[in-house]
Amino acid sequence: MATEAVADSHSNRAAVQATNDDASASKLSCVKKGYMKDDYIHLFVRRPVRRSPIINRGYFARWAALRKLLFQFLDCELNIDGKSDSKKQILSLGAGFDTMFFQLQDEGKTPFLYVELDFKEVTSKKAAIIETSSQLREKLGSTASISPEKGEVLSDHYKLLPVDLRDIQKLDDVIASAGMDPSLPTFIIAECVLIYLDPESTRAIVVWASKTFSTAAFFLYEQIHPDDAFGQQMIRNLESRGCALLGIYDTPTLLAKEKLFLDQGWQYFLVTNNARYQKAVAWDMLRVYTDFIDAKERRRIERLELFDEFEEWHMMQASQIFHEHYCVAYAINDAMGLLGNFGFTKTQPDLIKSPSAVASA
Amino acid sequence: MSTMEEPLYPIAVLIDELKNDDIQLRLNSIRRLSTIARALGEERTRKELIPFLSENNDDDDEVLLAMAEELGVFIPYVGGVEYAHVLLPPLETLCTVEETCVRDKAVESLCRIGSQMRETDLVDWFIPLVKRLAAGEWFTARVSSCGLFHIAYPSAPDMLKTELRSIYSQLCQDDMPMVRRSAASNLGKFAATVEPAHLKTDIMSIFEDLTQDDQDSVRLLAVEGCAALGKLLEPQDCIAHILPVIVNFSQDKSWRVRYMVANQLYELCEAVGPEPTRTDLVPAYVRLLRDNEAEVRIAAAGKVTKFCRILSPELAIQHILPCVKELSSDSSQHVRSALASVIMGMAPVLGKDATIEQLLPIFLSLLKDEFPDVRLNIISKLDQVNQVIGIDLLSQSLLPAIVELAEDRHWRVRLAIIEYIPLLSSQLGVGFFDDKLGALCMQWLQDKVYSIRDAAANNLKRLAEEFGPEWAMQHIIPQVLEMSTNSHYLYRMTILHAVSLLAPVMGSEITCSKLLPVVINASKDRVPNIKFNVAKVLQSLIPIVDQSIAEKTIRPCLVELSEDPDVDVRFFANQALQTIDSVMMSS
Amino acid sequence: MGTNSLSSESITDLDQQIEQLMQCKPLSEPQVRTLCEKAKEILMQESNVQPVKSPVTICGDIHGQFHDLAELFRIGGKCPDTNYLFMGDYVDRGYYSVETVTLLVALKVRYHQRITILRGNHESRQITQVYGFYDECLRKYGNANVWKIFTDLFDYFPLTALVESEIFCLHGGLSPSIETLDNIRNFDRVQEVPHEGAMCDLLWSDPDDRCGWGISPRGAGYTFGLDISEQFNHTNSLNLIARAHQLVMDGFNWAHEQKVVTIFSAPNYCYRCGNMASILEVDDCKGHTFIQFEPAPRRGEPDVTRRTPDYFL
Repeated sequence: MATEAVADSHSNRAAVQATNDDASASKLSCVKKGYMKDDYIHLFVRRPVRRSPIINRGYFARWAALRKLLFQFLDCELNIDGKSDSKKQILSLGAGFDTMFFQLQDEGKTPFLYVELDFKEVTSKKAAIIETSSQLREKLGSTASISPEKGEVLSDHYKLLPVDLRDIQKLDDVIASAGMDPSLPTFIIAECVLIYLDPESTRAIVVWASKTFSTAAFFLYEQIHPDDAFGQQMIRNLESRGCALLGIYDTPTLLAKEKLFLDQGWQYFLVTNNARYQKAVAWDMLRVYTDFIDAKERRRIERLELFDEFEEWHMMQASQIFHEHYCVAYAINDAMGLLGNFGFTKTQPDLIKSPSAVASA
Repeated sequence: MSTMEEPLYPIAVLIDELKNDDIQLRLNSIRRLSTIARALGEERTRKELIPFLSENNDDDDEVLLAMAEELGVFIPYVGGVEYAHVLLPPLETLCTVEETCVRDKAVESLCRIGSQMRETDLVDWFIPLVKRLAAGEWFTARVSSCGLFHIAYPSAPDMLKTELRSIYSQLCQDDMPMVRRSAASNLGKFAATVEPAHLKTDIMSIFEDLTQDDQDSVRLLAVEGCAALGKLLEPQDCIAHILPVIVNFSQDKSWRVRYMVANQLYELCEAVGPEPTRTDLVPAYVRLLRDNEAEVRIAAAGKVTKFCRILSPELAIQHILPCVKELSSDSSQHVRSALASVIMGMAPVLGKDATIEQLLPIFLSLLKDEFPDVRLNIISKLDQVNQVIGIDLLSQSLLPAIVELAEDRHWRVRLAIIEYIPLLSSQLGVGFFDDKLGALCMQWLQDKVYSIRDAAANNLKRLAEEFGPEWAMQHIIPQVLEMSTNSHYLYRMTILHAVSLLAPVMGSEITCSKLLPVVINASKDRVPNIKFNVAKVLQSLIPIVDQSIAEKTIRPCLVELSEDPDVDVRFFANQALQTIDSVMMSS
Repeated sequence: MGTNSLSSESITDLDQQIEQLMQCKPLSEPQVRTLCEKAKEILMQESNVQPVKSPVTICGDIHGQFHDLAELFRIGGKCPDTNYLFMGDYVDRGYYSVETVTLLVALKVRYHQRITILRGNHESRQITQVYGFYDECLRKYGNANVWKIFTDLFDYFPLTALVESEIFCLHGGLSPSIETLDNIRNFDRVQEVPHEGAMCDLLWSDPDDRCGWGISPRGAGYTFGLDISEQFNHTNSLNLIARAHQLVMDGFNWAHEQKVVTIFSAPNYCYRCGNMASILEVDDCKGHTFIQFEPAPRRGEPDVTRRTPDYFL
């Protein structure tokens, strides 16, 4: 997903946009090896590649973590009369060629509204691919309007719109034109997006999201720890392909990621005692992988490929000796008191169902 | 056998191969296009091959790229320039594909073909193509069209010229930033073909729009256009139109634009001439040297010598030198490294006094920089300063730093110092070679790193050449020979290597009396590696010593080694024995 | 005897090939075939516990990082002047597995007394298909023949070496089914690395802080504790176990109260890890010196600068 947010500084816009193709190719690599199921990603990849097991496993971990949190969110219900249908929205920032919407539809979990934002260069391409694929078009319904020229797709439940995320003013217009209702529970996704922006823009987006959506969960997946040997090399390598991580020094640790949300006003309101609380949690990916992702799933994917990259796996994801280098952080706003059960929990393999789509992969 | 008898063969094979699943085969057949065209003949190439290619353009990018390239040189195979237009349709399609490098190659080939086409054909075929692309629905077509105007424009009739200028102006205001970028980067080429009258009006207004584009990536390309446009304009127009733009750009809110100005400033100075450079561009350059963004300072620092060369020494000293001082302790190692790579060149510009007073202290601080690249950049260019201030002063002031660097943690820094020693000594003479440096030269022979030991041995040879055998007899040979019994085999090997290098310099007598016995002695070493290196050294000594010595001393030793249990010792001993035999035979 | 029955023409050819390989230019398929036939003759005469004399320089994983192997020779000295013992994992991960392994095999054929090349867990048919060597052969030769030739040769590589009866060298670590060096000497190594058993363990196991034998997270081999290393060294009168297999940030890492050392010779492993590399010089007097080194400066390597290692983007 990795996308498309490019800052006006160190990063080369085209290079950062190219990370989208890289991420799509990696996801397809995972799909082909059976890590996950995605019937659509191949439509977005011009040149399939085979990634090494460590990359496949890392993408799997991120995909599984996002899905698990997203499904928790979608399953949160206000128990008014045992059966409520609270409408939910998903807002994907720098969505790139992500296919989550189409997957959700197949799984019978279509949200009320799924909105994807990215730079016009990206949304144009995505709209063009959707336009030429009957498989994708069918999912959007006959009333959908698709315009590669405008970089827009508008359908009942899915909207794709172009915007420069740094332009906060325009964000309001865009979500309005997408028909989002700020009072509805909203799941916001930012996977490897904010890290490419200058810290001011990132903070502005986090504040904006907090002020705009009173009941919301913000999902963040990105890099941390730029300062140790692995981190320094990561920065150098990414810079050499034109993708500087402009935000990484501003939020270099798990604590800093949490603080990013807490400082920008993310909080929830507990009806029972009328008090305001703050909640933002960041885990490194090794912890997410071992303690959050379903153990059964983990055991399944660990048998898919020979794996001989342990030291590196720990370095990329986390470890005691070296600092972790990727993390998931989330924060919640909860005016409705809806999200009490949302968040990281230790896996209890039999209590939490693994994503149903995966079993057949 | 001949293609005449089997006329269908090549095109069938080509089509077959072009549809093959294996991309390598498809690529191969595209790369052989000209051969196939020759076999088909001009007419069938026009009527069958080219249409076939026009339709088969949904392939892998690599294949398309090869096709775009091949078609650029295809005029001879379709029957010469009068038929050149048949090549346009396949290239037009390639101009619209997704992959940038394919489009770029197609544009390049179109330009190549267009520049050979007859004027009427250009009007009939090429200009309509440019217009079609410029009006293309998908942005890729419009991006490509921008690169074709400079070919289309010169042969267009006046009406059409006006239209082309207006189309270009629209492209510069396209909704898609990619199109505006392409228009901006091709503006210079297009402008060069436009008549002076329109240049000042139409083109300059297009240019001014681009310089105010809200996308920094577009403004960036406009910066590059400054120099090109500047060269087309009269000096006074250039000062009126280009100079203010450059000054504005140097304060652009995007660092990438400022970075581009810093990179291009030298060319921009040439465009506006010396006087405005002094009054307007020096302040702009100083601002860039003090920019908040390290990247901008890196670019600016790297140009400091080039920029000073176009200024008077006074201006350079007054305005630039203070910035250079600041940069030498910049917080970014890359800024310091960029500065270190060019700063030595400032010495000739500033002259002796300013160099001594102002530059030397900066050199010194850079020589002690914590970042090895900075130190290396200074060391490797020290000779540029010799010529300005003289070696005496240089060595006096720099020697302490050099001595320190001789023990640097990074072996490539040590290596750079070693490689600088012969130059220093050749200019300084024997007096320079004081105890401390002499000891260093010996110490390097026992460095942990092989490449340093190897360079140290070479250094000794060059010192011996410089100062002569007598000096070497006193200051090198005894110390070297003393190390021949070092407990580490690799260090003993270095000594053997040094001996073989020194022998030709020292001459036959010293070789026989001092060096040879040590080598012979080493043939009893317990380590086979030493023994076969003894054989190699002995082989190198054969031409230096008298034949009698070779026979009496070297041959018996080699014969013994040739019966060694170790296969490699035997091999190299036998090699050396063959050399002795052939020397004896030829004498 | 007779293992070095190289004719002077084939020595000249080999010297040329080594020179070409040193410039990172691969050999042709027929050249590789001939080379590996000779290598097989030499390697099949070596023991499962190949005796090695000091002085020798011991090196760990290389993983196709050819330019860093060239840097290793710039640091440690050239072969044959310096004696080398490589502990496996020549291929996979880096961009130049073909050039790297061909060079080492060529040096082995030309100077079989000067260089020892052990088998690592990546010298196997299965793992090279996952981690890059197979793809690289396909890319560079257009077919899998060279991959087949090399992986067939890997079966003959010795599994362990013993320096002056004191330092036991191998790629991975110890095995619960091996007590003595004679246990190792006795089995038939000429086969693909199995998924379990003694031969697999030697190539896959890791030392661990916990005592005794443990399950390896790698899914092959075991983890072994200080008690195991002490017992093994005592039983076999060894001073030290030198092994590779694990990335260590300083290039070498002592474990088990200096009874075990890990040596890793691929700096900035996978062009991604930012680690130092090292080699261990065992000199004439059996003194030990570790020399650390960094990646070779990369100049004029357009394909490397264009390709950066994968991340999650």
